[in-house]
Amino acid sequence: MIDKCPRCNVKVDNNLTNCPLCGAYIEREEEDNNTPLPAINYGYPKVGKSIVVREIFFRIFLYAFLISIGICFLVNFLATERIFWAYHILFGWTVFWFTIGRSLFFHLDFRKQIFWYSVFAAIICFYIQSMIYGKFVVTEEQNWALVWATPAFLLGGIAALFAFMIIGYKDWIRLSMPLTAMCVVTCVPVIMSWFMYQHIHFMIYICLAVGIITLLLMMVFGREKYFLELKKKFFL
Amino acid sequence: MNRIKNTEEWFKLDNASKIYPASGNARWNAVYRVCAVMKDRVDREVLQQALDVVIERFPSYNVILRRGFFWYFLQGATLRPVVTREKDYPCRKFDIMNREPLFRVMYSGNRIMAEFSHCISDGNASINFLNTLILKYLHLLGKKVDRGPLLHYNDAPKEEDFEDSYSRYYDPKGSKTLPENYSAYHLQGAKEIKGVVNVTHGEVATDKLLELSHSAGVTLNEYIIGVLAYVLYTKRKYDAVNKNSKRPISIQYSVDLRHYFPSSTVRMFSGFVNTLLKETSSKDMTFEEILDAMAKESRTRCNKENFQNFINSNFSLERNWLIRAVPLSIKNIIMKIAYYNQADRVSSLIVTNMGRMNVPKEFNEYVDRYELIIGPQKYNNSTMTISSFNNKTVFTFVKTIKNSYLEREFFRFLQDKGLEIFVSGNNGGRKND
Repeated sequence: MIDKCPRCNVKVDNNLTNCPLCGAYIEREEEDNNTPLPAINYGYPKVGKSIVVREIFFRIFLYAFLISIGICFLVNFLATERIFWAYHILFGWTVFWFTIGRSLFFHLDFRKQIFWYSVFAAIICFYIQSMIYGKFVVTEEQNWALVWATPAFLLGGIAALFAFMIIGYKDWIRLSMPLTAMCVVTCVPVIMSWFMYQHIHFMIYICLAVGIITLLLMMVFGREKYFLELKKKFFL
Repeated sequence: MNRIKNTEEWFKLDNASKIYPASGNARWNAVYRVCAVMKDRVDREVLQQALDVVIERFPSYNVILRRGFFWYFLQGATLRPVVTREKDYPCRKFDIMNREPLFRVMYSGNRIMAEFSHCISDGNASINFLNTLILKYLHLLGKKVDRGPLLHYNDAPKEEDFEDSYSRYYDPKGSKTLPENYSAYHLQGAKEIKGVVNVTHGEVATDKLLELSHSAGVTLNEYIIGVLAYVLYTKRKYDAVNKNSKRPISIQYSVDLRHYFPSSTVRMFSGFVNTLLKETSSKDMTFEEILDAMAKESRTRCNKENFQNFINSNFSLERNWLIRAVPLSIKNIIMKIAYYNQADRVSSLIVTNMGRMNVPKEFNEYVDRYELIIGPQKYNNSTMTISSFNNKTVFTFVKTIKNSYLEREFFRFLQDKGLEIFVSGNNGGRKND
């Protein structure tokens, strides 16, 4: 049964109570139980509220982030006439989003995020160190973030990824690229150390060696599959 | 050839598809839906059996999008595609970050629908897929239906099916199109929550519509564009005076390039035409003047030479070594700007006309009508599609705003011309809600 919209004078699908064009209520004749259902159903299913709830949650998070940052900078400036602690709030939020927040919100595979967790853990160490000493460039003895923390997090990340690869060995190729990236990043402390001190600490050497060995292991045991994955990743 | 043999299957994205993943983000990507409304309720089990067979004929659809260092690429999905019941708004984004395949097949009541990411195909090729799926579905139900012009599900996939036809027709020495440099008028209105999509279908008789357009001395496509431009023109006249209301009206419609450059690819091979309403005097324009101006503009722009230039300019960018060597993260930023400038900013409305369906005549007994839904655009809040089958032309308006001015005035205009309209959709309240 199709009835017309009183305002638009168009026929309106039986599934709808209001005209989609003007919103007018469509008065239909009383249907008794013997009225046959229309042969063709043009209706759409009722959609759950999950999309709306998720979007509202995202907006609340976004607004909370922006407002808290704004308030912190304002309070900090008004109280001391210079901004110093508000940066920490901004840094904290940024780290939270790029590690836990992003992974949870987009349901990302946390194994593939291990690379970012390790990198951000090292960045946090550099941040804390520069807060303690009040400057980024310090002596090699003072630079525990570069000499100890960064290699430790990179080694930890490599070990965790390697362990997950062995556990899910059938789909090991899926973690091969984050692991490759992690191995390549072991060069970064070497370069930093060389430029800052013209000397490389043994902990950094160990980290680099583990990175190179892991890469070689993947090349030897992964062979064609690994090189194909590299080819896919780096085709021009 | 972009298909790599004897290894795990993977494909490079074709030229026009490259912009879609780059312009998308975690909350939006370009999705469209092709849908057939059957005369009987759909049997899920049979549809699943049909899909299991048909997907072998279209292996380039069951893929996931992956991120390389320089470009995105497509890789064969390891899981079998599953037919699901529709329970969301149309054209829900694909969860690319979690490796969701870039196409999905759904059913609901009488509808069989397939949603695709623009990365893997275009409307015309997807309709071929849907029709082949329906063909197999009907065969499994024991109906006698001829193959007609459709691709047969038992045929082996051919190499030509996977080609990037843009690269085939690229002429390095040919001239190139200049980018459009204006901002078009956009419909304004209260925005829906992200993810909510309002769909309105309007069905009219094709023969009467053709009669109407021919009596005005234009093609059906030109007539529809003329009516849409007229509706937008009237709306703009009554809008508050601001930057937006001073902008020109431009309607962008997509064109299947297979009509101009022979190709059997099932991947993307379409172009678009921007028809700008040229307002010559400060006096109010009548419908006839607008129709005439839009038809002239459309005829000037819709020709093989322009499409060749379009292919040349797009493909020359892709071949540029400097661009190729830039890491993907930087390319993404550039492509996001390009997408905004060349797609959304320069068009008031995006229109896709699928034309008349080329299917076996037995389909008339089993299929009531076809619908095409172009998902919401990133910045532009309205799209419109047209599909014709069995003397039924279905106009589909998709919006991410609450305002229904455009479709209301469009259908009222057609009704004033004597056409009978039947509307349906998802935004008119539902019984038992």
